[in-house]
Amino acid sequence: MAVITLPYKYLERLTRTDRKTIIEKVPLIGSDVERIEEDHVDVEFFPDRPDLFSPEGVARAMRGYLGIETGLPSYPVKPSGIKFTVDPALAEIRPILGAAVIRGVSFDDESIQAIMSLQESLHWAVGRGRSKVAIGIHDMDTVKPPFHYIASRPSRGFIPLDFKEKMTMDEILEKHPKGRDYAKLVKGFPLYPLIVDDDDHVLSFPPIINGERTRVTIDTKNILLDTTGTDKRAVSVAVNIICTAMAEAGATIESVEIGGVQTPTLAPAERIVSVSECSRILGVELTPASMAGYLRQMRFGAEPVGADNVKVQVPCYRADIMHDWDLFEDVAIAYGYDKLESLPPKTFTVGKPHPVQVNMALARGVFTGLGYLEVMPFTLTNEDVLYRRMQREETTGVLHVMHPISIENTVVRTELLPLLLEFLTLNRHRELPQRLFTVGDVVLDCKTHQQAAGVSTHPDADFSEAYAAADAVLHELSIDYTVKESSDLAFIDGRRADIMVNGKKVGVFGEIHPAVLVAFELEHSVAAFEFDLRAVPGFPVL
Amino acid sequence: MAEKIDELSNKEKKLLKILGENKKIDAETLAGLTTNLAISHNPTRKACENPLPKDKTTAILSDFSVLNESNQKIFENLQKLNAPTLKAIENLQKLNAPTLKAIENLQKLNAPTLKAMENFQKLNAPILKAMENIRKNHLKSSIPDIKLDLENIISTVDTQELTKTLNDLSVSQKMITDFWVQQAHLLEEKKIAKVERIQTSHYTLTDEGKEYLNNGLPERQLLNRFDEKIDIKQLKKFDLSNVGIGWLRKKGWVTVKDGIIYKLNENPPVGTDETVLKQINDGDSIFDKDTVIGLIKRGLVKDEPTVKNVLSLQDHYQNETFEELDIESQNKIGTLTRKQIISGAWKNANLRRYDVTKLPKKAYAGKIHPYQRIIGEMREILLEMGFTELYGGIVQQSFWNFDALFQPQDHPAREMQDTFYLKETLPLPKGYEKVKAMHISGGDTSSTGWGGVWKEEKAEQCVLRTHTTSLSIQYLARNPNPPVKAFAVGRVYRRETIDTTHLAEFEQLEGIVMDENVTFGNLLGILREFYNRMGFESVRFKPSFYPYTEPSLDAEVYVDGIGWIEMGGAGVFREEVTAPLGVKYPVLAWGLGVSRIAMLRLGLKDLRLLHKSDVAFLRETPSLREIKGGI
Repeated sequence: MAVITLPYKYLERLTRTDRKTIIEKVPLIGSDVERIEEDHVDVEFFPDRPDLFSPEGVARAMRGYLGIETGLPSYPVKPSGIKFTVDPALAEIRPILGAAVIRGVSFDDESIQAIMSLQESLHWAVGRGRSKVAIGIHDMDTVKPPFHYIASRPSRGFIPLDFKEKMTMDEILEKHPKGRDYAKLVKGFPLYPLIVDDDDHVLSFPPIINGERTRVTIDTKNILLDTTGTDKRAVSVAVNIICTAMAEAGATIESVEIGGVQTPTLAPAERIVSVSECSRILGVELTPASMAGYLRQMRFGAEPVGADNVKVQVPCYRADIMHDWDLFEDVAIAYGYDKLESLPPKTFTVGKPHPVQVNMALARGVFTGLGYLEVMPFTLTNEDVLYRRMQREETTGVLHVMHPISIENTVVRTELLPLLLEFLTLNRHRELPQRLFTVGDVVLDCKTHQQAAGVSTHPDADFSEAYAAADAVLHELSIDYTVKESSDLAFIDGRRADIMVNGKKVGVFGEIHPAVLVAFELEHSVAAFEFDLRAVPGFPVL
Repeated sequence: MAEKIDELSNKEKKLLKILGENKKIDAETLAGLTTNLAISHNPTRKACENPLPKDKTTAILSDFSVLNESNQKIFENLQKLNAPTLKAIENLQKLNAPTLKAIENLQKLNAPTLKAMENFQKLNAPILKAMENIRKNHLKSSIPDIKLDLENIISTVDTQELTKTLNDLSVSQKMITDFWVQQAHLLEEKKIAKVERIQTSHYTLTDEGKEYLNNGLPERQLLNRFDEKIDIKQLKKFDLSNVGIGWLRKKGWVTVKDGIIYKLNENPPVGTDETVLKQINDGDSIFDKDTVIGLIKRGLVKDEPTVKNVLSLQDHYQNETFEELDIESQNKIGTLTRKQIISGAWKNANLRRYDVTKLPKKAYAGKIHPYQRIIGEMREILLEMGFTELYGGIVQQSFWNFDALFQPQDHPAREMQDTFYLKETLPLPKGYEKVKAMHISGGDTSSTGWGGVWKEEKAEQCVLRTHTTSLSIQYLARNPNPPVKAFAVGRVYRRETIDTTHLAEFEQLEGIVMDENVTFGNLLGILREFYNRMGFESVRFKPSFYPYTEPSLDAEVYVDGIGWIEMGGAGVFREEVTAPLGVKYPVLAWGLGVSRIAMLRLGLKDLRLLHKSDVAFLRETPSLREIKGGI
C-alpha cells in the first residue's frame, strides 16, 4: 500500500476547498486516513490507483468528487522539438523508453518532495521494484539535446547522484546504495542501459541511478523526464501520471520524438459502456444522463449516447480502467456506497454443510464426551517434531515448503499426534490429568485428508486407557476395526497396537515410549491414539 | 460465652475439644498424632496390626478434614506406597517427633553412608554415633525398638523412596504443626486459648570443643609446656598461644613481668568450664548456665534449640471440657455405601455435613476449542442463510490460487516472500488457455488484459493456498449455472513473520453468490445480514481494491469502546475471472479473517494463543459466553 503525504496548504490551494472537507471525504473515493498531523495528513491509497500517489492527483480527484471541477481534465501537449535516439542493442536489455519535457516548474520544498515521493511510489506500484519501469527526472538546463538511450560498456564512468567522484557502472552496482539495491536488474548483461546528452554527459544509468550533473533542485525550471522499462503500457502510464501531476501543479508539457513518434500525447482512451449493464451490476436504476454525471464526477469525459450507452473518455493517467466494470465501480463510488440499497438476494436456496465438517463435528462430540479438551495446533511444523522426536522414519510424500520462515515451520503436518505431544510440553506446568484431542487436516503427496488424535497424560496413563478411549471413539464413529501388535517406535513394545480396517492400517494406539517422552521433555506417561478419518464409513475423499 | 463458641469454625471447635480433654498439649505432638492417624487410615489396611489408641483426642482428629489440600495429597501418595514402605513408615510413626528429627538427620547422611546402611552389619562409626545421640538425647525405653525398626526399614525399603517419603512427611508434619498453631492463635484472639512458644536449648560441642575436651583447653595445654617461668616470646612460638596466653592471665594462672611469664599455680584445679564441657559431651542435662554461655562465646559449645508451641486454654476456661461441643466426628458418615442404602441403615446414619461455603475441587469439562466454537457459529449462520459448504485441499496449484483469479503473474503477492511455494507441480486443467488469453489480451470481454507474457510453468507450481477463494473458483468452474451460494472456512497461508498479530497460517471465511439478477447492492445486503447475525449491529461499507473483484468494498463494523473495525473485503468477481469458466452472471464474493473476531471476542493479545494454547486458558474460557455488540 502506498501512504501519501498531503500538505494541507498545498492541497487546499490545489483542491480549492478546506482541509476538513478533504479529510472527511477522501476515504469515500477509496483510501484510509492513516495520520492527521498539524501541517499534513498521511493517506493510504490502493495500488490500482497510482494516479492518486501525489497531492496533485488527489486534488484532481477530489475536485471532481466534491463537484468543484468535473469531467475530463485537459492537458495540452506541444512538441518540444527534442529528439531521443534508442540504441537497438537495448532490445534484449531494457527496450522501452518514454520521455517528456516539463517546462515552467516552480518548486518549493513540499512540491519537490511530492514529486520524489510520487516517483518512488510509481517504482513500487507500477514499476514492480523498477523492473518494469524506472523513472529519471533531470534538470533540463544542464544538458544538451538531442538525447541518446544507449547500451554501454559497464566500465564507463560518471558521477552518480549523491557522490563526488566518478565511478564506473560496475563500481556503482557494488558501492552505491541504489546500485546494490537494484544490481540484480542489470547484472549479467554484457552492456548496461545509459542515457547521455549530445555532449556525451551522462543523465542516467537506468534503472539504477541518475547522474549528479542533472540533479533537480528548488531552482530547477525545466525538467526532462525519462522512463525506461520492459513493459510498454506500464512505461506510458508512469509518464502520463507524472506529466499530468506536474501539469496540475502549473507546468506545461512538451512531447519529444522517439523513433519518429511524438510522445506523450496525454490523450484519453475511449470506451462506450452500457447503462443497463451498469444498473444490473450495481443494483441501481441509472439513465445515460445520470450515469454520465457520475462518471464526470470521477473525472471521466462522459456523454450519453442513444438509449443505453455512455461514451466515456478515460483520462490517460487511469491505468486501472481495463474493463467496463472498472468504470462501474467509479459510478458506484460517485453514487455513494452508503446510498446503495443493501438487500440480500431473493433466490431460495437450502444450506448444506460439507460432509467432512459433519464428520469432524461428530468426532469432536465423542472426544469431548470422553472428557478430552480440543486444541488446534498449527499445520506447519518441522521434521524434528514429526519424526525425530517420535523415533519415526520420515514418510514419503511429505511437503517441504521451499522458503520456510523459520526452522520451526518447514513442513506441512502428516500426523497430529506429535503436535499433541508438543502441546503437552507447552503445558507441563498445568494441572494433571490432561486429556487433549485435535481433529483436522494433514497432507501427504499434495493430498489433504483428515485425522483425529487424542492424548492423555497423568501418572497412571497406560495402554489400557489408550485402548479404551480409542475403542470408544472408533465405536461411536461406526468404524469396524480389529487390532494387531504394532511396530510403531513412538510407543512401548508390547504396549502398542495398530488399528486395522479391512486389512489396512488406519491408526495406532498405545503407551508412548519413554524415549519419546524424554524427547518432548515430558515426565509422566502418555496414553495416545490417532486414526485416519477416512476409515469412517462413507467419509468423503476430497 | 456459649454464643462465642458456637460461632467457631469446626477446626477451632476441634482444637477446643482436644484442649478441653488435655488442658495442655503441644502443637508438634498434635501434628504427630494427626499424621499418624491419616496414614493408618488407609481403608485397605483395616486389619492394621497396631490399632491406634482410641482416646478422645484421636477420635476427634480421625476424620482428617483438618488436613489441607496439599497434605491430603501427600497422604494419598503415602497410602499408595507398597507394603514394606508402609510398614516401615508405620514403625517410624511410633517414634516420637524428636526421634523423627534424628532419623531425618540420618537421611541427610551422604550417599555412600546410605548404601552402607543397607547392610546394617557394616554400619560405620557416624551412624553408630547418630544412634548414640538418639539414645542419649531423646529416648529411653524404646531405644532397642528403634534400632530394630531402622534395621527393618533399611533392609526392606527403597532408600530413595524412603527419603522422599520422609521429606514429604517432615514437610507435612511442619504444615500440620503450623495449622494447629494457627488455629490456636485464632482461639487466642477470641480469648479462649493461648499459645506459648517454648524454646528448649540443646547443647553440643563444636569440633573445637571436642578437641579441647580430649586434649585440654589451650590455656591448660600451654601451662604444661613450661616450668615456673618462660619468656613470652618463646611461649608465643607454641601453637594455641594466641588464644591460650590471654586465658592464662584471665584465669590468674600466671603473671607477666618484663616479658617473662611466671606460673602462679603449678597445677590449677579443674575449672567449671572444663567440667561443663565434659557434662555436655556426656549428655548430662544439669550444668552451670553462665559457664555454658561463656563456652558458647568461646565457640566451643553450640546451641541447637528445639521449639515447642504449647497450646492451652485461657484461665477462665480451664475447667471446661467442651465434651458437648457439637462438631463433626468420626462417627459421621462420608460416603453412603450400597449396604447402608439397601439395608435401611441410612435412616439412622449420621451423615457428615459439608461446608457449602468452601470452594469445590475443580473438575474440567472436555470441550470444543473456543476458536472452533466461533468458526462453528459462523458456519451455522451461513448454513441458515442457505449456503452450501465447501471444503478442500490445503495444497493448490498457482493456477487456481492466482491465475484463474486474474492475478497477474508478476503481482507482488505471488512473490516468494509472500507465498509458501512447494517444489511440486500439477498439470494445468483443461481449457486453461482461456485464462491465459484473458491475462494477455482480455479474451472476448471488454477488458484489455494485463498484456505481457503468461507462463504455463508459473501456473503449474503448487502453493499452500493463500486464500479459500481457490476453493470457490473451482466450485464455480464445476458449477457454472445459477444459482450458486457457497462458502468455506479454512486454513490459509501467508509467508508472514509470526508475531502477536500476524500468523503464517490462519482461518479465512469466504462466500460466493452467483445468480441471474444479483447485484453489488445484494452483496452489501448479504454482508449486513451476516454481521448482524454475528452480533454487530452497525455495518458500513467503503470503496476498496482487490485484484479479482470490481467493484470492491471493505466492510466495517462498529464495536463499542473500539470504534469502526475493518472486518473483511468483498466485491463482484471481475468478468476476467468468471468469463473463462463459462459463468455468465455476476458472482458476489466476500472474505473475512476469522481470527480477528476470535481475538476480539476472547480478549486475546496474542493470536498465537489460538494455536499454542495454554490449557488453563482453554479450561477457564466457558463454552457459553455472553456476546454483546458482536464481541
